[in-house]
Amino acid sequence: MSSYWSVDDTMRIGKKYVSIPSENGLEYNENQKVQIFVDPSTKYMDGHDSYLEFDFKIDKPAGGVPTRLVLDQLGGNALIKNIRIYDGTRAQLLEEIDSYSSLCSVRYDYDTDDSIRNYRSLREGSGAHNIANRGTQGTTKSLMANTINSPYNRELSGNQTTASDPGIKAKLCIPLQTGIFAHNEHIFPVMMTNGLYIEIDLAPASEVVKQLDSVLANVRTRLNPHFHSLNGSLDAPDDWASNASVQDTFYVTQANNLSGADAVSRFPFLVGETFEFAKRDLAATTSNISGTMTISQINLSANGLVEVVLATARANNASGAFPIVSQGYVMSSTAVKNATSYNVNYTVSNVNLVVAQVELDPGYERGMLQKVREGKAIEIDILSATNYKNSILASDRQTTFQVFSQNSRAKSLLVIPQDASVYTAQQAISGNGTYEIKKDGDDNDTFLCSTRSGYTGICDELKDFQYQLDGRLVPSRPVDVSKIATRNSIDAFWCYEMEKCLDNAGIVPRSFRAFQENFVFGRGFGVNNGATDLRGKDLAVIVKYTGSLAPSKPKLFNSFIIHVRRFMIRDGGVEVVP
Amino acid sequence: MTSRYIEIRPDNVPADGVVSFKNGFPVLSFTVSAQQGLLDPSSIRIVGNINFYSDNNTPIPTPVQAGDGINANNRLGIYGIFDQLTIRSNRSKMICEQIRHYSKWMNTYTALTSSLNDQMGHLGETTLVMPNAELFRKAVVENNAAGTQTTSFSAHLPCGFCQSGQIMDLRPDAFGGITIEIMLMPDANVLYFEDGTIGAGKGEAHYRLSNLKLCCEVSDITDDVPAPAPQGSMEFNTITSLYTSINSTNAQIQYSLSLRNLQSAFATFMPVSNINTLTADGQATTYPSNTDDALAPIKRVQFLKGGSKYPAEFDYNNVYLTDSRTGVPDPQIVKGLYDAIVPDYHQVRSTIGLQNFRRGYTMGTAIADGSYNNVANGGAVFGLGVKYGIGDAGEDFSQEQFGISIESTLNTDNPMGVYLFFKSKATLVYSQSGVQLIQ
Repeated sequence: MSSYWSVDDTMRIGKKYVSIPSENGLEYNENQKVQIFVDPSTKYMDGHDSYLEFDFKIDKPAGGVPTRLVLDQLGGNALIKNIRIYDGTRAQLLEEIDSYSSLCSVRYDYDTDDSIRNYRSLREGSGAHNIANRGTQGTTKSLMANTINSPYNRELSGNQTTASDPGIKAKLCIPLQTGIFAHNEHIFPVMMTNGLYIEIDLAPASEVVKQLDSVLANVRTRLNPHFHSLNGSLDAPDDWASNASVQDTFYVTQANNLSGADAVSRFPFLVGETFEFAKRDLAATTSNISGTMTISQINLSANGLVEVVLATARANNASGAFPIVSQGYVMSSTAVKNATSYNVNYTVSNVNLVVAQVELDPGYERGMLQKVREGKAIEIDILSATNYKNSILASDRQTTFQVFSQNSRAKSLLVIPQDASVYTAQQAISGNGTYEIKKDGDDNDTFLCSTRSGYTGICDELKDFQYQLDGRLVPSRPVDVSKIATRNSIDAFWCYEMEKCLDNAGIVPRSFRAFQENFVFGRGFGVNNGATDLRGKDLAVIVKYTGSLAPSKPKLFNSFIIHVRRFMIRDGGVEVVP
Repeated sequence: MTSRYIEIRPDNVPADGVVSFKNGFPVLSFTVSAQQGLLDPSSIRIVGNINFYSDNNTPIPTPVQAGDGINANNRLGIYGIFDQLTIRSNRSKMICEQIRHYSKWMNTYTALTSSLNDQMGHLGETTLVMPNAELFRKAVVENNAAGTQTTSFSAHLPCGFCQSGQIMDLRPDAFGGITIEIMLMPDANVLYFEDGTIGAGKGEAHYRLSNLKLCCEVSDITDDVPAPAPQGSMEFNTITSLYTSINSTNAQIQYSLSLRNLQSAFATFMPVSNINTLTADGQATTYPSNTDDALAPIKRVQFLKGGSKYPAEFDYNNVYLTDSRTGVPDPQIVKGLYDAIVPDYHQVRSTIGLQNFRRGYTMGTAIADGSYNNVANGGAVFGLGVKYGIGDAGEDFSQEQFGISIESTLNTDNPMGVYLFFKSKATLVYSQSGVQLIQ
């Protein structure tokens, strides 16, 4: 490893970048397939420095209620459901990662810090915390509240008096998180595999398109705009009393940085968006208004508060003494949640694989070809992953499932127990009825439901887990995660196990911040960069949901075996040793 | 072998020990003399105190205080006063390494290689770097009410000679001593008035350095150590810089670099009218801009070698071309700058992000809300960069020209200063007859 100033002794190796367009279309939508062929004339490739470049635009449903929609915090990689890489003849599958975005979400959630997160946000359109949209009410940091610097929505400045769609086309550059590309620190001889053929299955839109956290009652409730008053008086703010009196204007507090000249720019709702009020400290308690509240104007008032004007005046119909009190209620978008259907889609266009083409000495190339012609094999190792899937019902409290791995050099097992419930697009996008990462009434966020049900892990009252490997229980005692299951704490043994497991998987364990939002467990198979031969051995995962509370969701276990995969290139083609 | 820490006074300080560019001391020079010892160049620190004054009254100038509105570039800290760094062989006075526009280079380097925690932590303590302009003004530039505050610094010198990890044999019959010269930055390019107006009686605002010394670690050589080789060489990466200006929507920059191992290059921009004036921060690193202070987004970039596109065989088409309403930077341009500065697999700390790389600011007065100076996370960052080859061998530009073609919306008469920095491998060969720097 060299520093900025010290010199390494590498020979001169030139590198140039060539842009290879996808071959089966100009535009793609959800669930479609993108195909890219890297021609053998590319010869040698630095996969680590190659990336996929494309434009991305969210297509809102026709006639849908306006709201800001963004791509998941994972960024462009969230769009890849599965990826397959074949040799140029398309006969030999070199690498396949099923549920690619699931593995990628773990990588991006655990191998991260502020620097990396910010850099990914610039390159890949990933989520990043934005100071201008910061929470001031004790919520956990949100990566999905950006109204200012978002690649997916332009900044709206000044008073908003007419409906305006802020959605824009974003340009994303994503490294392909596979062994042949991003995790390959060696030069890959594309000419020896007769080229590379890449197939990418795009993800369903409802899985990857989100609303901002700051408009959802179920996701960091206190990050939403807080009701201030009907009169906007800083000295004597009045509540919205429950009576027949209709109102068409109210003000929101300066909480969550909705202050200053840019307050309207930071305000997360749009003109035309519908909403209700939810109780700040118990999100399930919502207002009972005489009709749908639709925003017609968003203005910065003279007293420094954001003024919200409704299209139609409404009354607070709540029975009994149930006023909407200052600082006690937050605005909650119903644009998606209350839609009868929400056919959101997206368009991926201008897809190019930018390949870092390495210019090696012709003598080296001749030597390699000579070696192959003499019947010898060229061996290339990559760090790849294979997904073995299993599922259980929510009612299953004790389960053992087998991972039928045939990997000769397994480094690590990563188990991502994801919520297998079938959600409507409205539920998935607005986090309504999805897994509760934090129960309603939480001291910090009030309520935190998952909007990433398609590919992130959930703990869901898991008490402990253990493995049976080659007839032995490992580790010798079950790994207790009952504290994580409480949604309020973390288990030290789990941290210890995960640190090993992630490191073995080539995922630098920089951050465990996502231990609740993207729960994962696993087992490292080797120490000192070693590996384990799983061929002919049984590997079972034993999970117990035997705590006092029953799990709430059916689960799909994505069990990724991270392993060293060998390509043996002979004159006749490529042989893959998994 | 025992080691000792030594302190060396500057070669050229006046009798009162106070060094000021305004009062006639534009160069700071330290000499580590030849001796029976080995110098660890990475241990070199320039130590001293800095004070800022709003006038040049004698005998006692007026310290900058709250309300004066005088500031300096926060991301640079003490490096803001370093215009040029030169390291010479003390014996022959020949140059071992020279980096011009040092502070301009440091601005981008610091943004890309240190995190906010770094800047608030050890870099803040030692080199006075701060991730916020107001914090920097209050903590470093402004004095207390009594004018008794002195701000101390202890700055390492990021450069190939010092940081490449090699040890210098100071024996007279080996490399011998070294001289470190720091050309100080003119006061007008260090300080600026945040409201863009030079306050009455404050046109002589300036900085002064005092109690200066160079600290470093020298290991003593005992008599039983074999005599040194009278000649040798060392390799390190260094920076070559060039300055030019552009003033059109289609700017072509071409240079014959004569560098055989060019590893990377990057360019930063600043309106020429902002350079060397007390009315603007001439050391920031911003997008090109037009006369109305609005930014002039870059539409398309090509990096050229010998007139052909290289290493990318395609244009970098900015996302601005796709939708001009977007405020975020183009991801390929970001990657280019990042790769040009951050070594592969090495450094993962930086402060760049959507908040300071975006185009959501203007080049108006620094005090304005939407100003380049008030951009979160340390201030605005922008540059065009490119990395060549794999490893440190880089690309041979000794025979072919380096070029950048920039298509932008710079459509008014507002010349942009362009600072170009080239990182390349250098070999320093020394012998009894002197030193030679080969690049």
